[in-house]
Amino acid sequence: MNDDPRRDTQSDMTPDMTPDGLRDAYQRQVRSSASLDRRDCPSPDALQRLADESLAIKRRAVMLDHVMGCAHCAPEFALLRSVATAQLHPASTWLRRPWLSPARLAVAATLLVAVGIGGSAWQRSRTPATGPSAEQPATPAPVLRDDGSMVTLVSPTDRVAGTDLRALSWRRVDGADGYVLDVFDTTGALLLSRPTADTVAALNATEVAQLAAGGVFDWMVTARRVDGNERRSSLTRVRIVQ
Amino acid sequence: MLAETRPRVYDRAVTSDAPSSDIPSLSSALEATLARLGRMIRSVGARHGLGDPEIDALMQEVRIRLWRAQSDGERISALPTSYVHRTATTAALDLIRQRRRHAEREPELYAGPPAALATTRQADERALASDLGAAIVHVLTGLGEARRVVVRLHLAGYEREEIMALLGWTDAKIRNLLSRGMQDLRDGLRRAGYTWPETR
Repeated sequence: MNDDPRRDTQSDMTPDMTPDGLRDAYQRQVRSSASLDRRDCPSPDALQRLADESLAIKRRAVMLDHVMGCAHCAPEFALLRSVATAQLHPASTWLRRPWLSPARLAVAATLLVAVGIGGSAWQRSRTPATGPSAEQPATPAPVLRDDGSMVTLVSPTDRVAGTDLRALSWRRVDGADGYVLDVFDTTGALLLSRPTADTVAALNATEVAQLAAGGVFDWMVTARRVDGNERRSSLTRVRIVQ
Repeated sequence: MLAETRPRVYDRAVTSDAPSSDIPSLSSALEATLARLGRMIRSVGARHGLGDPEIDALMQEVRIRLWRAQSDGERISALPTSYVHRTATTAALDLIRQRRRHAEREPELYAGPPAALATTRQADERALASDLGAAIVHVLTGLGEARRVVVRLHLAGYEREEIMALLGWTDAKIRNLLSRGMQDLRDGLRRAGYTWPETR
């Protein structure tokens, strides 16, 4: 690697060799090596058995070796594992484990407080007065083509001025013969539901006032395809600003 | 056609002129149930690099399934935890199956990683991380299967206790394999020309 000119000429551009840096580099590599051929991938049901620890022990290592190196299987497994963990190891179970004894927890809590105070002071000393607030991360979220949920919402998707809130729009889904727009408040109560054949839903004054009243709303679009299947967007939260 | 096949929940909420008195309690019971489940799933999912959109899509699917299946808030509140988890599990499986079907039909959407805008410096950093990532994968392929799978899980963000549970191996075995596997990885990366700050 010493023959790489970037490392010789840019002393500050060295790869991050910390444990977190290695993890990040590995995970990026896995994500970037997505193959279209999934013939070697385990079925969703096999992934589920692996995630809930019901798969035969002798088969787990081989399957995990594939899953942890596969750009498709890794996130699928992470989703199933997260659900399974919520069932298999609720918080009370983890806290009863011997390695989490009260004495160790007390030491950990003390260290956490110390690190928190030190870290906070360090961060304050490095953050310029005009720097971004904690609520607004300095680094913008990566621009993604699609989160995989098939229906892509176009506008609004983050913040919108109340005076600009006139319509909700999304991208056309191939093969869709209609859409259902659903708008919820932050408690999940349905505020508005409208079937439409268009990819834009204009809002009347009453609807705008209803959405603006809460200051925040969630919306999603379900596309119904001619074959009867549904495709749903992710639930997107919108804040209305003045 | 849409109106005939719409879920009952939408019909309940939309067709009544005045908001039904059971809708707020239904919603709050549903949200309380989902909040309990969602907190746990998000905390575990974040450790495994799972993005919010994935979890949001799952929680929305669970919300709709519970809403369809249960007629009032009291019943939702009384649902056993195992039922809610079962619903979440089947919803997650269905999401995965649905995406695989879609990927088979429209493979061009799944051809590669998402394009992202980047500055020159970010691009340099990514190139370096990409070189390192490729070197890590190359070294891993030369390890024995047991060491490799433990190191892969570690690099993917799984804690030792969880690796133990997933593989069904003892803590001592995992600790041994992880220690030796990481040493092999560091040795392999050194041979490839990578150095650590303290050794420069």
